[in-house]
Amino acid sequence: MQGARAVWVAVGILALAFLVGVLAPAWYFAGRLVENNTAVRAIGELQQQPSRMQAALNSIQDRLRARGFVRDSIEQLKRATIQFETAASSLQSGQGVRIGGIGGDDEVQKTINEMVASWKKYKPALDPVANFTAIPYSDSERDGTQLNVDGRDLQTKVTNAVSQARVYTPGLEKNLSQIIAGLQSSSDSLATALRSVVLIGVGLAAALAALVGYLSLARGKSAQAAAAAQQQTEDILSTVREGLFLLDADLKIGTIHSQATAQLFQRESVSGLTFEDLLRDLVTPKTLQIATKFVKVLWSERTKENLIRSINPLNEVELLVGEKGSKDAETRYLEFNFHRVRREGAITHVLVAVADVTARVALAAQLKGAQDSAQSQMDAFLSILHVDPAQLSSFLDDSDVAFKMINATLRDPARDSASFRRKIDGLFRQIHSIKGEAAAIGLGSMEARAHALESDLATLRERTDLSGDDFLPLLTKFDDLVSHSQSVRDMVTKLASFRDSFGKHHAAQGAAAPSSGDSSGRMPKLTDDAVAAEATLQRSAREGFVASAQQLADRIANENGKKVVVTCRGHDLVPEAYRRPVKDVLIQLIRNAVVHGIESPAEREAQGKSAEGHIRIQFEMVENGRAFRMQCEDDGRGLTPDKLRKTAVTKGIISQNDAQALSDQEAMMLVFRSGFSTASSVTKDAGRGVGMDVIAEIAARLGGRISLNSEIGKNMKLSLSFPAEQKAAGVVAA
Amino acid sequence: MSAVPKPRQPLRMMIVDDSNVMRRRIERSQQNDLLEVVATAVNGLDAVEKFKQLQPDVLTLDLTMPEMDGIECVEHIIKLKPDVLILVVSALADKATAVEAIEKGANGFLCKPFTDDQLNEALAELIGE
Repeated sequence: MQGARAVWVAVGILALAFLVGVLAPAWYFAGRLVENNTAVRAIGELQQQPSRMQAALNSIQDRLRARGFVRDSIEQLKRATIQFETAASSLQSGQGVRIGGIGGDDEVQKTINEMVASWKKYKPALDPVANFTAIPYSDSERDGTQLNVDGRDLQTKVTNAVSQARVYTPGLEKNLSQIIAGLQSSSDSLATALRSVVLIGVGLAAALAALVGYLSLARGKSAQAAAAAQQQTEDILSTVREGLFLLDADLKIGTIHSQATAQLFQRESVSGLTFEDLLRDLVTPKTLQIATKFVKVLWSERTKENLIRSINPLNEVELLVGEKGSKDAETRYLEFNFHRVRREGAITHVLVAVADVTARVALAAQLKGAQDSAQSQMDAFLSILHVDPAQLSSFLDDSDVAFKMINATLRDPARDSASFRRKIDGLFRQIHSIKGEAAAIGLGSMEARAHALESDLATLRERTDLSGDDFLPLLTKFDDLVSHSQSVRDMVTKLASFRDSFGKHHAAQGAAAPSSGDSSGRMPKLTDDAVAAEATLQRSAREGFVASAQQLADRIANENGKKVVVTCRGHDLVPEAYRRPVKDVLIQLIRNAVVHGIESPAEREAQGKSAEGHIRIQFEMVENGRAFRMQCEDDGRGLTPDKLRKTAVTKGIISQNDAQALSDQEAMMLVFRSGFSTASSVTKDAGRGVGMDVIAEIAARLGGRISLNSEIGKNMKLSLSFPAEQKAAGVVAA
Repeated sequence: MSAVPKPRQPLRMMIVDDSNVMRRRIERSQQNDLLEVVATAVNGLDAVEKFKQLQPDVLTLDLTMPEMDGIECVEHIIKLKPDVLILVVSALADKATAVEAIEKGANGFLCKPFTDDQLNEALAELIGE
């Protein structure tokens, strides 16, 4: 801005220079021209006088001869003489009429002097005639009118004057012509000078106008830039969600603040309020007092930035929004942050940033609640430790992998509702599978958590308007699940370590106990005992598989008031890489068979079947060892194609026409469609439309084939074959 | 910080806390060449008495003590030596009192419970290291 001011000062000086340098000379020259003009006119008048004088003299001489009347001619001469005298002397002295110009002055002055000199010589001859007052004639009877003495004297003088006039008149006229010529040439040069000055003036004026124009333009641009900056500031303040305002030294709020400020404090305007007034109705008198003291302390240079943060009494201000007791009333939490604004080192203002941290506070509370409940269930963990170690270990490893995938899914950014839906479907399957496995090994605390998370997902699935925020509550539950899994693992680790050192201690009678600092989450391999235990775990894994299948079936059957016997053959043949997908498939199949297939004991007996249902699982290598096949058969009620068609139409999976067009075999394959479930009530074991579609998905991923057979009322048989060269790695990586 | 003398010379510190455990803990963690513990006091009155004799440069001060509370103690001590550096050590719930102590002239605030690192950091900031 200072530079601009300097430029404007320069413009002012230029304008002044223009006035002085151009207008003043122009004024002067114009004045001289006018004077010259006046002089020329005056001299023009003067120029006639010599010839008038001469004419008067001639007239006097003639009249004297004719004895005529001479008085008026003498008067004429006298007037001319006086006029010439006055004009000449004033010309010479420069009074009255100024003579001058550029260049010709000296010449003109010289001519004037010359003329005056001539005049001085000429005038003595004229004066006696001009001053003649007597009567030149005397009358007598005899001679008539005759010249008297005075008359003769006058005649002599006139004769003399006439001869002088002949000498001087041409000279004087010439002098006067020269003076006029000189004046005219002087006027010419003045006019030229004036023209040049005007020309220079026009040039300067144009330059000045251009400069002013340029400066105005530049000023307009900077004004535009300032307006744009102003607009940006306004945009920021109207968009930002935090309350932003400045406090001055009197703790008054400035006029400029973010729009959110007024909203956060539910006021029309906050400008001009003191900070104390702003808070008065929101906080307790004690907090108000402390807050006011705190804000005053901010102005002290002694108060350091870190200190401001650590003693800020307004980092979580609870505030009631809406009428007390009304249904709109809700508690919100505001966080105040204070930043000191300095100008040239001195604190001028305090910037206050106010954010609504209700969501954060709520989440923190929820998280704390979750942690508390996790803690309270630590005792329950002890009771689950009768679970088979091999199964528990393999379950924990499997679920770790699943957690990683869930985490990746949760972190995967989604924008549209289709991708949110895919996210939820993916999460649903993962959680469902963890739930199933937890149930299979009898880890109830884990199963309950997975079930809770699954319920939330099911609710979300019903909704059409999904956003990223809807996933936040899931995170809490998911964290709970993961930390619970971790606690189980830690507990196992600690127990193993404890058992180990306890045993050693006993054996060595007071030998130092080994450090048990390992909490990395892996089973510790500290001693020979532990290594042996690990080997046993590996070995027993296969037997454990069969056992867990029966265990799962028993548990689900129990809950559904049914009885089931599981037989399994050829499990040894399952290639190592297929263990995980086979287990996933089997869990779904067993669950499905027990919930949907096997009838209640009473129903079975009524149909002449044994009270307990049977599930037969068989693994075998086929196609000369190139393929691996698993079969699962139950002797339940089987699949009813018509019922399946009807359900599929009701669920909107296919249209009525399409359903009718399906063959019975094709209708049975409907159970593999996503979202298909025939159970009328939802339990944690089946009925959410996840299960059979997982099988289809796994088969597709591994390049397997599914076939399904059923006799109504008698059985259902599912057969899955995979290529022996596995692609199982894809299951985990997907 | 006019209270900081020649750089090599340790500052003389007094610990004011009614808890024996807390006094020992702060004392133990300050075995270095920046600070030298010259006295400990068990309450505000004791602190003011010892302060008059020893004129320490730095003070750690508990706020809730018998006899004379922390705020009163700050007022007395600031009068005795305006450029003394006072670190208020107090529970988070005591934030209100802490603000008051800062207003009266204390220079820093450390929230109980704290780790040794937090204590060292707070003291380092206090003495401008």
